[in-house]
Amino acid sequence: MSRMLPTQKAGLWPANKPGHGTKRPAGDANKGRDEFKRVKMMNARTILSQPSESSLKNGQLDVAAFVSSRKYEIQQLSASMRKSKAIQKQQTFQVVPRSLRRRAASHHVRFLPPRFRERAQQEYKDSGVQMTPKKRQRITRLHLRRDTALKLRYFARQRKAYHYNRKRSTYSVGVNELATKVVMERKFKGRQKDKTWLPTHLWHAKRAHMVKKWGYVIPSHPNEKCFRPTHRASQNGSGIVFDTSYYATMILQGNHDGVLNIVNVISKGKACGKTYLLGDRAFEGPIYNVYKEPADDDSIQNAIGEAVIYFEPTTELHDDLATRKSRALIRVHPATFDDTWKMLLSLVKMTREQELHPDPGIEVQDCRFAIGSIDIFGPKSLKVIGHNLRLNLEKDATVHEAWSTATAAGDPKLIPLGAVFPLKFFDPRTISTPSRDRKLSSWEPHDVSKQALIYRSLNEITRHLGSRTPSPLFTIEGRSIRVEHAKIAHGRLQQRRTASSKAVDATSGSQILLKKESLIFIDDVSIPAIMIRRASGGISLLLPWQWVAIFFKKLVIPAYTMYGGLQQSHQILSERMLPYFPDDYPGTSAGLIEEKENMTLHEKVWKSRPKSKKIIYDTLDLRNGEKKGEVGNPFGCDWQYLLRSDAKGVYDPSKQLAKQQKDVTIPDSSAAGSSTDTVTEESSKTPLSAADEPWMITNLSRILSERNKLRKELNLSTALFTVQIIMIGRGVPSPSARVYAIPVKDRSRWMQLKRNRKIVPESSEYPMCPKSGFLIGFITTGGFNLKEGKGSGIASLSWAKVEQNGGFNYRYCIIRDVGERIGRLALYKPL
Amino acid sequence: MVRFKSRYILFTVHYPVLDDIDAISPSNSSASNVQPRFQTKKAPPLSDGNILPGGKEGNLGKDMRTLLQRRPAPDGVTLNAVNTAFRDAVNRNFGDLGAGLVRASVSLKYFSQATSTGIIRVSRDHYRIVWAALTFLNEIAGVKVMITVDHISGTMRKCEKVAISKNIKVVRELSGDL
Repeated sequence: MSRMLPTQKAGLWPANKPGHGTKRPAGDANKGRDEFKRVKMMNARTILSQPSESSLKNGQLDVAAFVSSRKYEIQQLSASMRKSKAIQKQQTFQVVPRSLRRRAASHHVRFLPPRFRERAQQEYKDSGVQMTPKKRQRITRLHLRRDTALKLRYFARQRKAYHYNRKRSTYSVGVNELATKVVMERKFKGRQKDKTWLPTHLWHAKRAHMVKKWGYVIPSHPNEKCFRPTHRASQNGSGIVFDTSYYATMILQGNHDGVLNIVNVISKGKACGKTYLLGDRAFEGPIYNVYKEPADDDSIQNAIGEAVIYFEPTTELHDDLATRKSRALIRVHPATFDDTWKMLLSLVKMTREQELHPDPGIEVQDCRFAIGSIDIFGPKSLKVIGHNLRLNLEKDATVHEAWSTATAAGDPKLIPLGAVFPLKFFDPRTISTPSRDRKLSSWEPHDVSKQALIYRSLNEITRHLGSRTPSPLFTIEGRSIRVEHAKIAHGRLQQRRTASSKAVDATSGSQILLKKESLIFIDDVSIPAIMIRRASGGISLLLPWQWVAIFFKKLVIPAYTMYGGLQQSHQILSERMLPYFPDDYPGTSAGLIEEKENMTLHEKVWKSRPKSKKIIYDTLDLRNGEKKGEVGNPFGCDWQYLLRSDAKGVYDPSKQLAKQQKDVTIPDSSAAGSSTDTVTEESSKTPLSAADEPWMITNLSRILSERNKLRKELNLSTALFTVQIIMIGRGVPSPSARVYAIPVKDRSRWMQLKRNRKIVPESSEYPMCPKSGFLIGFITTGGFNLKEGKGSGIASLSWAKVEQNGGFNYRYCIIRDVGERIGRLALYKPL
Repeated sequence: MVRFKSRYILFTVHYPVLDDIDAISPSNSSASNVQPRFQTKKAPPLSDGNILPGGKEGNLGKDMRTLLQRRPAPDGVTLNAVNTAFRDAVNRNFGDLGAGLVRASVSLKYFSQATSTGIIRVSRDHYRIVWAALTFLNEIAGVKVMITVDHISGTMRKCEKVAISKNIKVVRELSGDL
């Protein structure tokens, strides 16, 4: 930073005080310290400036000098900002960003990063902070003996575990059977009896609120409040990182025909396109339960959930297909794992029985605990990866080229959808300059031509990327790369730092300067990874289970990338108006279970509150001529009520008790939406038959166009479809809010609200909420959308109800929160 | 405890009269193709006095205008001069009451002679008095000035950021072709 030293004119610089900008204090210790602080404060608050002589000489305005004086001002203002920020940092532990701070760090040196501990120790001593004292040594004889015994037992256990681990060369894979789960941190084995920890559990547990779901312990949200930081990080920051190792991975392996057949069946043909088979792209879409009726129809019923299917790349596609060995990796949400696994297992068994080419036999591997993953979301996320992880530069130039273009761009949205990068990384602990020290230059894509160029080149490059390089992640051997002890890795880092960075060029014999990253030592391990660009706009990095924690820490800590939990990924998707599994999929069994759990929880909480501090739903008066009380079960989305209530909104479960044993008949076209014979809801403890559960429409337009034909085949009375909701005007929809269609006679009154913003809910002109017969759906996710700047949500609407109440072309609806009297105007848009 | 809130006013001082500039030396290529047709003390005065030419009469290139609008302060305009000047302005326009309201909390945090940019800090309740006073201020230490307020915000940082972005814009305009 070159500073133009101005002439020493008294009163001119620094701007505020005459004389020099910096001072050194004199005096004895205490006084000196105070004086030092005061001077430090003064220096921090002073902004240096130049007198005008430097740009105006002899009455001539020198343009170059003008420009440089501006630059000087920029530098000084930036310096001032930095200084005043630094001066506010009272204590060492505040240097660590709030999101990475441990609470006890303010009085316990152990909880600070190692490089700050000495400094903090001194500070705490000086300031007289009550530090947590070290544990006293227990010195009485009995205690000594007891402690020794404990220690011996502990070491014995360690030795056993060491030998146990040494024997296992494969990391927990189940072939045609469920894998045994991996226990992280054997010290805490007892806590993992009935749940599975993620590889990064300990790290997250100290910084986030954990929740037990689907058999895993998953971070739900960080300890800090982060509604806005999440939005900022995902929108224009370096991104958010999630540990998504709870996603179940299965590898389908065997002869090509068999594998293809199975994938064809579960994805109803969609995952078998040419690019998918080549391994260039990963398929992301719904997979269906083929054992549920009806099984033929291609875009409807029985979706289990979304899956990512990635075929192992093959170099040729033509010769000897049937017998060649082929692998497909299938990733599903843990809530749907049971269904998917059962289905795959039975399909594999079936294929084996009909096996035309028994060698290689088909099998499905449960790799839930062998392959973990990290999800990253954000506009600079690729840059973060590029800077913090060392890529093993392939001999294949294509991968390298694609990689450097992608990381330069930074935004995963520029990568084609479904693009897969099979990569190899070096141990990330050996990277010598993580991105904290380098600048993550914000590549501003204002230059449209540059942006287009990058997009085009990425497109071309990734087109044949996968077909060149099958990833070792598919095989057990490829994944089993031992993690070396942290101390050894640190030693390697030191090695790299001290190693000479100059080398002799083999051809020319001259000395060339090598970057430290390009130094490869003989025993460097290369970790296989697969990077997939997901439909949501983020990327998934698949890694061997034992390496996830190391990679994760290297992505979060150096770049100060935000880490998140389930709530954060939910927020990210809902901001972009995308449905989040399982909350927004009430048509799947996972979604229904989730909803039931939430309802039970809400009811429990509600019951525990005193009467004066909660809404009494029975007394809710909507003032629209109906009797008092909330529509449907107030604690959640009452799908049974929605689908079974008649045109007047009446649903009486007790009425159907007599018809309990009858089978459900598919209604004929004239009686769509009217209450049919039903099985009672769960309150009478009869389980729902499969035909009564709501199911999701995945292709609405098709159903609309062929509704008469499909009506006979499908039970459309229980069909739901997902829509995006945007509020018009004020109001924020909450989850389980009621969605009504607007009665035709009221439409003009509601439309008036659009024009006349002065009509407030309190005024008499504000229309009443429609009657319960007009209920068409519920909001599954709702909140204030920071991206849109207004309330938004995802809702599921009943197909039958919408058809009954005005059709699919009139898209306005009314949203009413549970327990509220006021309905608000909104617009829905089918997904 | 209610927090003490303040406003930081980012302002630029402009000098409508170009008494002391004889020529703008074209020391970089972007300015070289512009002919210096502007008002100087040597040239005959324009019909409406020594004011900054622009529009159809002064055929200035964008570079010229940029420079002339943001020229460094002439000799008399120093930090202390600006300080006294705007306090005087408050006194003159708002009387003793105004001066008293503002006096305790107002301070000139930054002023650069090189760029004629400054930041004043005032309490949030009375910042409009200072703002108005700056608008009425038309002379500092004998030099005719015109003050524009570029940004007002609750934190110093934001003002600094705006100042930086304006500077970057200017630098880009002048050296962007290089």
